[in-house]
Amino acid sequence: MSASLPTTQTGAPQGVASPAGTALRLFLSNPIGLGGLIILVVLVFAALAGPQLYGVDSLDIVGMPFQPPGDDPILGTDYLGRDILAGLLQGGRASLAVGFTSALITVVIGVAFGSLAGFFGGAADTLLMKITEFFQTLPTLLFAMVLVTLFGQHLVVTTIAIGIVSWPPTARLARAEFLRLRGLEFVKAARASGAAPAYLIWRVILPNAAPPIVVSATLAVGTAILFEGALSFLGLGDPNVMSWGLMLGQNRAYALDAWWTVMFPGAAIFLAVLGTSLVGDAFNDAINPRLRKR
Amino acid sequence: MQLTKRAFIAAGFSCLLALGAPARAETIAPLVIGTTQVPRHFNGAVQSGLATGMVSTQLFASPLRFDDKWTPKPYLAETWDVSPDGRTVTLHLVKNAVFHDGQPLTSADVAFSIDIIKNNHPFKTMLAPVESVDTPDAYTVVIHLSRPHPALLLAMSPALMPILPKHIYGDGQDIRTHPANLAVVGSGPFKLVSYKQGETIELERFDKFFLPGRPKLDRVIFRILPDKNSLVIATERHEVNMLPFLTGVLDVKRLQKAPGVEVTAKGYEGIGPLNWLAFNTKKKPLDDVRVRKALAYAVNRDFITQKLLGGTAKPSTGPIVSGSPLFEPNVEQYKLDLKKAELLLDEAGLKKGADGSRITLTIDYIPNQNEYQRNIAEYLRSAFKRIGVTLEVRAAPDFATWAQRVSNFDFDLTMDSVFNWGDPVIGVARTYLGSNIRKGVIWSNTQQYSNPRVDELLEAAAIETDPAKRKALYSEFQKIVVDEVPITFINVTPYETAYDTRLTGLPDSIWGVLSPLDELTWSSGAAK
Repeated sequence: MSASLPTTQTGAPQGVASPAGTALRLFLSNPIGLGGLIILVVLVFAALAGPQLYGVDSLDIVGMPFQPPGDDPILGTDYLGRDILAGLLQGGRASLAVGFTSALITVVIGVAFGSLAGFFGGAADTLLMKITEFFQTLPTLLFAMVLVTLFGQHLVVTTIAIGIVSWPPTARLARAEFLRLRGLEFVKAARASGAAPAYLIWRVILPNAAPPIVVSATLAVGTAILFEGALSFLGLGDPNVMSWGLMLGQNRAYALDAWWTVMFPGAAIFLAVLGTSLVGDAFNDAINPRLRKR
Repeated sequence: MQLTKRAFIAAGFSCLLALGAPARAETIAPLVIGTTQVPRHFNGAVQSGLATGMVSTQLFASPLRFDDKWTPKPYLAETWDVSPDGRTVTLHLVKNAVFHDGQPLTSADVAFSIDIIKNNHPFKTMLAPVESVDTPDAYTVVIHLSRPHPALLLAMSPALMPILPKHIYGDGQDIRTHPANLAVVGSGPFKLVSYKQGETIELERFDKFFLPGRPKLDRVIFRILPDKNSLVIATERHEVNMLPFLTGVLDVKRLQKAPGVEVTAKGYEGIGPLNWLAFNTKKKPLDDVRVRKALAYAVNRDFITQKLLGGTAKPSTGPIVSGSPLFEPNVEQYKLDLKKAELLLDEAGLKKGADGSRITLTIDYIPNQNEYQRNIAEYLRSAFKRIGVTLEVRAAPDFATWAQRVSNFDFDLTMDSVFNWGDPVIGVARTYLGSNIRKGVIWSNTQQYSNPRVDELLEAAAIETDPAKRKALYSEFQKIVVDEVPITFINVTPYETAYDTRLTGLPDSIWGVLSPLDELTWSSGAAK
């Protein structure tokens, strides 16, 4: 039955050539977005390849505590005598992994709730939105702290906890998009030709609702990295996995006496968050037709 | 212009105050003591620990107090005799001691308090041999013991034996939840004015204190701040005049540099705080003494004390703190020896796997004591990796979680911090006695260590009245325990007290601020 159905792109309201191609072109021509993308690529590359290239275990004590940067190791050592550079590289892996994975969890839960609520409306909408509101009214940081306290200080728990506390805004966004799109002509057309709800949600509406969700997911990556930093800062990080947040949290007591122990991981978090939000913003500009002239 | 006018008035006002100062005793500035510890209540008879102890020792008097040479000094007891067989101790009380409500303090109160402490205080061994207490007259207390109990004198210290008013506590209410625990009527140098939960505890001079001319201060205020850093800053600014139980390496260094602030390590000999790595000796492979020894040889105690702790902490080598007269220095020192450690692990059958790891163990630590607990646990992870032992650090979100795990034997290794509390009978034996393996009780024998010879020695030493023989028994005990490594001793927790240099008369005692601060005052000319 699918053969006769309109494809998503032909149903798209703007309908010019290829909207995705236009968006990409617009994105790449935006120097700010490109800058953000470069930052992210560099960070991801450093995190993926860095630890092997550098070859120092970030949890090993390699020298005296609080060696200032400049000599060997190049970025100095922390309060235990662990290599800061090794920590940045290996920590980047954990921090970025937490960032991307929690953003993914946020999107999966958020889109599931939002799409079903927006598509079906009525009782389903009320029920799903009540659940969303329940989660939304919980203070996110406290809720995440409770989850980590209950289930233990492991990176997996942290990641899931961040995902669980961050999805309600995505759900609301998805719901709004679905509410808007489900009344449009191309959806009606698909429905009239006998498409099942799953097909309508998955193949017809979702691709058109995707752009704002992708933007919010990009921004969620940055937020999640910050969130992991905050949890670690409060002493709820996973002590067995080096992450930027953990470095920041564990060294913060020594910040006044050894600036390098917190400055570098702080800068890394700053860059990652900056990178994701620049990319997110540029992406938003690129897909939003009304902002194209900016 | 308004500003100058106001400044002028203020200056004039302070001149007036300064002029009036020598004439009026009340103008002695209050002493502000900083602490992070929030006491549940102030009744040291049923609650151990620093939070209660620091305040309890100001509010309640005890039979004896101690100088800095471990010599008992008269307090509520003017004199005391120990019978030749060591089984009867007689206290002769001062006759002018009264409680804060004006009721006289008599032998009945002492007998009552001993009974309460014996039945309620967490340190079970402290008064266990007490069979009965007689009160032949209002100022004589005769303590009958089932066996000689030399630790009894230390057990009569301010922090361990506050004398409670029988007329208040003898009303049949549960002592642990008695309202008077928070609305204290004691006989100590200061009386309780107010307690704002978690904020301030305000004490005021007790005019009828039985020692003439004391206390010298009018007011003592305990200022509770949850954050250690804020306390350090407040001390630098002289908003806090005395900051006891200071432990942080950086905090100590910082306050040493602060003008008008002195830092001293004196006054913690009695508490005897030890920081150590404990093994669960019933759990495989830690039940094998060779494995425990191997791990002990992999610990570089000098790196920990000199580098991680910045040279502020003394290494410790055994179960009794080095400041104690019973300390035995001639024990195995476990100097760093990785070859020996690997050999021992090979012998114990823990061969290296393909990834270089022999076994994975977990380590716990007491949360919120980063420098002495968390950091050392993390150091150990790196140190043990060198001998092929993978250590996973298990963080606990709060103290209760840690205590739950450790007291239920749900751990492999844990960092721990335990106090000697003066006599080994009170604070040391509990960690090693086979009979003190008590599931669910933290700071009991959570290592589940048991050695009949150790039990025998501890029991014999507890009742040995000849100091030389007693020391010999404890020496053998220390050698065995260090040899069998239920615990790897890391360091003496270097508690220090930061205080305003204008203060004089700091307690010259092994108990430091857990002593009555009745001689403490501002040096002349220090009116603030």
